Parts: sequence; structure tokens; C-alpha cells
Amino acid sequence: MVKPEVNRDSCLGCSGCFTICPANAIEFDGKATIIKERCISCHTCVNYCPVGAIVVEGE
Amino acid sequence: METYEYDCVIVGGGPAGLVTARYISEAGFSVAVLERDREIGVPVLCGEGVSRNIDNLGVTERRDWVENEIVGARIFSPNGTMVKMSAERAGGETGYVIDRERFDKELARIAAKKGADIFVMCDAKKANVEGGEIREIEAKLDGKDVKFTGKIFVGADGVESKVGRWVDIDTRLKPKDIVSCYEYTLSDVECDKDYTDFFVGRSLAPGGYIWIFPKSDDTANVGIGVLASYSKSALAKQLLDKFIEKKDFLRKGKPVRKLAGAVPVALPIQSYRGNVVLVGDAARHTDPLTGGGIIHAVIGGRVAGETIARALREEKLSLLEEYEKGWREKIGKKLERNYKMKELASTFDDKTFDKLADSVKDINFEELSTRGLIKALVTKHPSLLFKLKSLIG
Ligand SMILES: Cc1cc2nc3c(=O)[nH]c(=O)nc-3n(C[C@H](O)[C@H](O)[C@H](O)COP(=O)(O)OP(=O)(O)OC[C@H]3O[C@@H](n4cnc5c(N)ncnc54)[C@H](O)[C@@H]3O)c2cc1C
Ligand code: SF4
Ligand code: SF4
Repeated sequence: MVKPEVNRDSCLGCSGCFTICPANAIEFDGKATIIKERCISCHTCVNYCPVGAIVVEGE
Repeated sequence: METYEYDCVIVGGGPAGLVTARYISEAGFSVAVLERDREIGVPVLCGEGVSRNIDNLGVTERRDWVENEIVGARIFSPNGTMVKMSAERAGGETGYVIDRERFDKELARIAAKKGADIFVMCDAKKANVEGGEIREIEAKLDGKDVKFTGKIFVGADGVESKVGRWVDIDTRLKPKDIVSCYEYTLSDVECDKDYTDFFVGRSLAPGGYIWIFPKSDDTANVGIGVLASYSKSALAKQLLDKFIEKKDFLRKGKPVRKLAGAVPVALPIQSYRGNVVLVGDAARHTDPLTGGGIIHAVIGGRVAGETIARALREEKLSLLEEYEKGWREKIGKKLERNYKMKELASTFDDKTFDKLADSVKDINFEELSTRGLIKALVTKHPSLLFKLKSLIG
């Protein structure tokens, strides 16, 4: 599966994706960033995001 | 690198951190609160509903943070059946709709007056840990690298808590233990300012609910929480928009604020280790059934502050275990009971909510007891008894 990316412009900074990521692959400093090297493509964060700011390229 | 020395360093300037700081400084110890944002109380990530119990906790002096006094709560099941409760009965989030920015600033004002130092624009980045204890925290203050040293460190850093992770407390949440939220503050709506309204239902807000918390008769916080295990990308926003579109009194409203939030609906985690203490959302003290966390953050903050002051006075870290005992005594049972209720309620389909509402809609909640509830269920919808037996037993 494809590794998702955060659209920083639509991220509202709720930190939920950071808290829920099972692989510790998200950094949070008021907005979220996905560290691709650690991401296991589980898409838990994609489903979590209340505003759909985490996107999978090509979708 | 510039180094600041304190007896206690607190990460997070929300209610939990500010109340903790206040009780530590009141006891005569030096304390710093590190807040990443540029202003205490901003951005607001909250429905701003709180029970009148807040008045009995003695943490505020001014009252300018009360925006609206609520008479009661109304819960609507999917088919529109209404269950009404007085504010006293409804618990956690019913009583006042507050201005959360002013509320947090009032807590900060008092903490500061008692002697606490508050650093805004101060992002705690990492900790230097030795033998399971934090020695210092590296932070960015106004964009510059600085260090904070202390004897005791507090993680009051909310749902996202990193402080726990620094000493190997697992703060990650499973999808079934976190709620994905979206909220508008809508102006130019028409709402009944006497009631906070809750709308439940599997199709409406799976594993959560939609709330309308009126700030006045023309402005309300209208939000939704969806259990993350049922969530899909952007589902919270989509379901809320759909709900608003269908309600005449909301549709014409104009959003003056948009926010997304995450609410832990988990069992509390280990709340201390070595010289580290976790408070509020960081310790998962949010009510798992309602998602309300302000009151618990304040209660836990006070216990934490008083315990830390004692540990500093007697120079005994082992006293921190009293903190865990202290909050468990005050809110432990409620958190466990409501966690069970949440686990159960998140399996209900729309029909179950309708039957439940139908069973209890005529009960006078001033007198509601478990026996009364069972009686109502037996007479109206006996099949529900089976579903609820794990709670009643
Ligand atoms: C959408 C939504 C609606 C809610 N509605 C209600 C409600 O109606 N009633 C209710 O009682 N509760 C409600 N809650 C829950 C309530 O907001 C929280 O329980 C409460 O804020 C917890 O307080 P706290 O001090 O533990 O954490 P917070 O208030 O989250 O404070 C944590 C602070 O730490 C800061 N921080 C985090 N990491 C760092 C770092 N590394 N360095 C520096 N600073 C850091 C953050 O910026 C933040 O200011 C709601 C929550 C959400 C998301
Ligand atoms: S879940 Fe979405 S809104 Fe929340 S921090 Fe992650 S990307 Fe931003
Ligand atoms: S896809 Fe999974 S592993 Fe990757 S960032 Fe999202 S939650 Fe973490």
C-alpha cells in the first residue's frame, strides 16, 4: 500500500493521527508530518483524520 | 544553550498543567509551565460545556468565563425521542457553556499570581533521561534552543502527550479508544439557550454523538465525535455537515470558528514513573462516555500539585505514588464504569438507542435509580435488559 501524506494546509492540528499511529511514524508540532521511513502504510491515520487532511497519492 | 532551573517543570499550559502549577507554587516551590502555542487558551479545542461542579473546586476567582447557564440536557435518539435531564443529573458537560479561552487564562492568571512562571511559544522537544528519570527538557523558546532542568517533570501535554513516551509509558491509543471530532461555532442560528442537546445514533455519529452547546440564543458550538474505529477519512466533517444541512435552525448559521480535535476515551494509563507525573488528557482522565475532560483535568491537577509539593518538601520521589492513589479515589471508579458504558454503547444500533430512549423518556431523573431503570426496561423493552446486563450486574 501507498504511504500517505499530510496536506499541511488543511491540517487543523488535532494531533489525533499522531496519537493513533501504531508505528510512531508521525511527528506533531502543532501540525502533523509523516516520517515515511517509519510508516507501515496501515492507513489508520487516513481514516482517523476528521477533515481528510491525510491523503494517499493517486486517490 | 540558555538553561532555566526549576523545582518542577510542567509541559502543557491547559487546565491540567495550570492547576498543577498553581498548587506547587502555592506551597513555595519554583515551577515553570511550557506551552507551545503563543497564547494560553488559544486555539480552543473544546465544546466548552462544563458542569456547575466547577464552582466547588475553588480554582477560579473571576467568573467572566461563564457564557451561558444551562437548565438541562436533552438527548435525542435517532427517531427523535427526547430524554430530558436536569443539569444536576446530566453530569460532566452540562451546567455552563464557557468561554474556554477566558477560562484557561483565568487559571493562568492565578497560577502566575501564586508565583508560577509561564512560558508561551515554548515547544518541549525532547528530554534527557537517565535511569528512568528526566534530567532536563530541551525546548524551543521564541525559536531559540533552551533547556529546563528540574527535580520533577509533569506531562500535562494533552491527548498528544509526548512526556509519557519519553519515560516509556505507552501513550498511543487504539482506534476504539479515541474519538475523532469536528466542530463549528455557528453564529446567526436560532437555538434554545437553556439546553445542551445531544444526538446519538449509529448512522448519525458512530460510536459518538453530535452536540449543540449554545453560547447564547444566536451562537452555538455544534460538533461531532466519531469513534476512530468507525471513522473514514473526513467522516466527522461530512456527517456534521449533513446534520446541519437538515436542521432549519442551524442551516443558515455562519461558522465563526472551525476546529478538529481528538478525545481519548480510554482507561487511564500509568500516571507516574520515576520523577514524571502525567495529568489530565495526557493521563487519559477524560470521561470515556461523554468525552468531557475539563473537570477531571482540574481535579487531577490539584491532586498532582499537592502531591508534588509534598514530594519536593520531603525530597522523596516515592511519594508520587500518592498521586495515583489520590486521583483514583476521586475519579477512578467513574472512569472505569463509564469506560464499560462506552464499550457497550458503541455497539448499539439505531433501534437500540430508540428503545432505550423510549424506556426512559418518562422517568423523572431526579429519582432515577438502577432499580428504577431496570423496572422501566422490563416493562417497555425487556430485550434491552440482556444488552445492558454487564452494567447492571
Ligand atoms: C472537539 C472537542 C470538544 C471537547 N468538548 C469538551 C467539553 O465540552 N467539555 C469538557 O469538559 N471537555 C471537552 N473536551 C475535552 C477537553 O478539551 C480536554 O479534556 C481538556 O482540554 C484537557 O485538559 P488538559 O490540560 O489535560 O489538556 P489540553 O487542554 O489539551 O492542554 C494541553 C496543552 O499542552 C500543550 N502542549 C502539548 N505538547 C506540548 C509540547 N511538547 N510543548 C509545549 N506545550 C505542549 C498544548 O498546546 C496544549 O495547550 C473536548 C475536546 C475536544 C477535542
Ligand atoms: S488528524 Fe488530520 S487534522 Fe488532525 S493533526 Fe492529523 S492531519 Fe491534522
Ligand atoms: S499509515 Fe499507519 S504507520 Fe503510516 S503514518 Fe499513518 S498510521 Fe502511521
